[in-house]
Amino acid sequence: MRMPDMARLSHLGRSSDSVAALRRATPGVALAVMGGGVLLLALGQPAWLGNDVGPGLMAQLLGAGIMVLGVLWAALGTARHTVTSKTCCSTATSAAARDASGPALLVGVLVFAVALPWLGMVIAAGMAATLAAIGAGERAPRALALTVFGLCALTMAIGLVLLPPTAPLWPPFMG
Amino acid sequence: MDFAAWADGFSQALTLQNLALCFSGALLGTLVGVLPGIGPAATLALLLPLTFALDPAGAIIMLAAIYFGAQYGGSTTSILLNVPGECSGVVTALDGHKMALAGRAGPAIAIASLSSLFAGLITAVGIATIAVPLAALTTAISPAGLVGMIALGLFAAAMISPGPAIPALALILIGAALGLVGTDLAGGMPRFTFDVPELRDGIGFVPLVMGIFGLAELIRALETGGRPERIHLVRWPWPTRADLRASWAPTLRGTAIGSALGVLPGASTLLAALAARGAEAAFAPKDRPLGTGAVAGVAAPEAANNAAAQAALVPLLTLGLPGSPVMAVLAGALMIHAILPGPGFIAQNPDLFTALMASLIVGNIILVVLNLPFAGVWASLLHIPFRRLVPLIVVISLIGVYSVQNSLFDVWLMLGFGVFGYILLRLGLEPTPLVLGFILGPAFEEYLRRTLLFSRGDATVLLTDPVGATAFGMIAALSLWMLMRRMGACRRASSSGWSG
Repeated sequence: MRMPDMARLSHLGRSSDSVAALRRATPGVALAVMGGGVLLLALGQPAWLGNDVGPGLMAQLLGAGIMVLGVLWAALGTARHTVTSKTCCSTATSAAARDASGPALLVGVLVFAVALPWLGMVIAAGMAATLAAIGAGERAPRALALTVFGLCALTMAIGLVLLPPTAPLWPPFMG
Repeated sequence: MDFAAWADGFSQALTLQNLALCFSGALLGTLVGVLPGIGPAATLALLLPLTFALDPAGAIIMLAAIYFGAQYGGSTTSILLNVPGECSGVVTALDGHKMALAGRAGPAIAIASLSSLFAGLITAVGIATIAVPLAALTTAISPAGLVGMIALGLFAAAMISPGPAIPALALILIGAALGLVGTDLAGGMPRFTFDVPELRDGIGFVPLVMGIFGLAELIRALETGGRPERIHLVRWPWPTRADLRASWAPTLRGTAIGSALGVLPGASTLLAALAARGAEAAFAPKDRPLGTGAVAGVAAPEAANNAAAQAALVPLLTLGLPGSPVMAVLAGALMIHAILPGPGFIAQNPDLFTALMASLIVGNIILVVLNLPFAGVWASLLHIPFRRLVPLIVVISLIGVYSVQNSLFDVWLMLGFGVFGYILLRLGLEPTPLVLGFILGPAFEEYLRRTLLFSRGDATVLLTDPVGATAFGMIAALSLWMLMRRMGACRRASSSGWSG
């Protein structure tokens, strides 16, 4: 029986460990970068106006705070990984098993925002409803069509009864 | 509040318009709250646009009714499906669902409703009694003291929030930074507006809360909420005499625990429900221990969570500290209606306060009327597949966000916050601290500014003011305690690693 190459295995373990550690540190690093961005923007405004607090003071404090907490989170995330690295894989598996309902809902909102000026609220709502329904797991074409038609009708009713006349219910070319 | 104030409050709450608003708020709140996975904060966020056209009194009455409706609806879901609409429902489900499995879903819902009603009535009277003198005291707190109290409230919220404390604290700061976007009120200078005209008035609360709570909660419900294989039949839900006898003492204890814990900023309804259940463990009869479908296991946590939910209004209305996600949404909603909760709120709006107190009582009674006879109807709603409701909720949310200012920019903001909420969801973080920071950040800055103005730039006044010093001392002590606990855990982990 061929024995496994222990040196190679240990090297692989080390590299997968460091990749996982990097992954755990990423949110903290992103937070620190965000904090740095806030701080940079805030530095463009005065912290003090004579003896009075300027518009930049609070923003600078917040930016610095976010940055420090981001660094701390990243450092602690990496440190915690070394202790709990053996149990990390179960999370990854369950994450992979999740469906795409979240992105579908978000794309639905995106489509509504993009389509509204061009196609009007009724059609944009119908498109968003289609994506939301698919994201929620609706697979029956008849039920999907009924849901979308019903929601277009509801949007039209809300638009006509509750929204101001300037609300763009229909595409601009329909006047 | 004296008798005349109560009479005045009821005369406002019982006008035909406000009664209709209270009823429709309770109905809609229950309707959405009964959906598994949609908690009171998300319910309030989703239904917020409905109140825009109302006067402040009508809006506050409807919002309170929506909130308590969502609480009641969440209990029904916990009992019937074992899928809590909000976290405190987990505690009710432990015994409530066992009762449902034993064919006693009706009595379980009835006990939950009656316990909640009792707790709601007692707490409303309690709030009315203590809030007025407490509010008078808070007006005497200096700006430095208020800076300290807001900092302590936010710190406590971050500590109690589920998940690690460091990202929760960071989310509070991010929320506060988002709250700074717009024109600086003191100097008139634009901050973080990137020359976008729509940002000059700041980030809207509705798109933020709809994205963070509405969209993200929907996604969470879709990803985690399983559908039940069987929903238990609900017949006439009147409990037996034995049920009522077994529930009165736990209800009393739950009410006391819930109202005491609810006034602490950061203490959640879950904490109250858990504490009440913990207390009942000592009182539960041996022949019907908790966890086996005991009536006490439904009555105590339900009374506690309803009492805590209402008592949480005390720090919000007297100090401006929203101690929970729902209170954060409620605070934001009040601000949209130009009502600023905090010191001075009760003194400046006595009519609004009395109307709110009276509407709490009226709302709780309406909710029992809605929940007891129609328990079967609410249960039948659960037969509607969630996938059919999701597109409806999304479309209504989109129209709601757009219609606030007829602004497509708000829809884009909602999308941005939805994506951010989704990322938080993936990281296992709660978005609540961000909303708390967004609401309290500007207030913190305002009081800090006043403090430094009065002290001519001397920041040590924050530590010499007695209230401020106590608050910052508590923050320091809590931080130190957390650090020591963490170091102890690391030491234990490394020593077990060595021994292993």
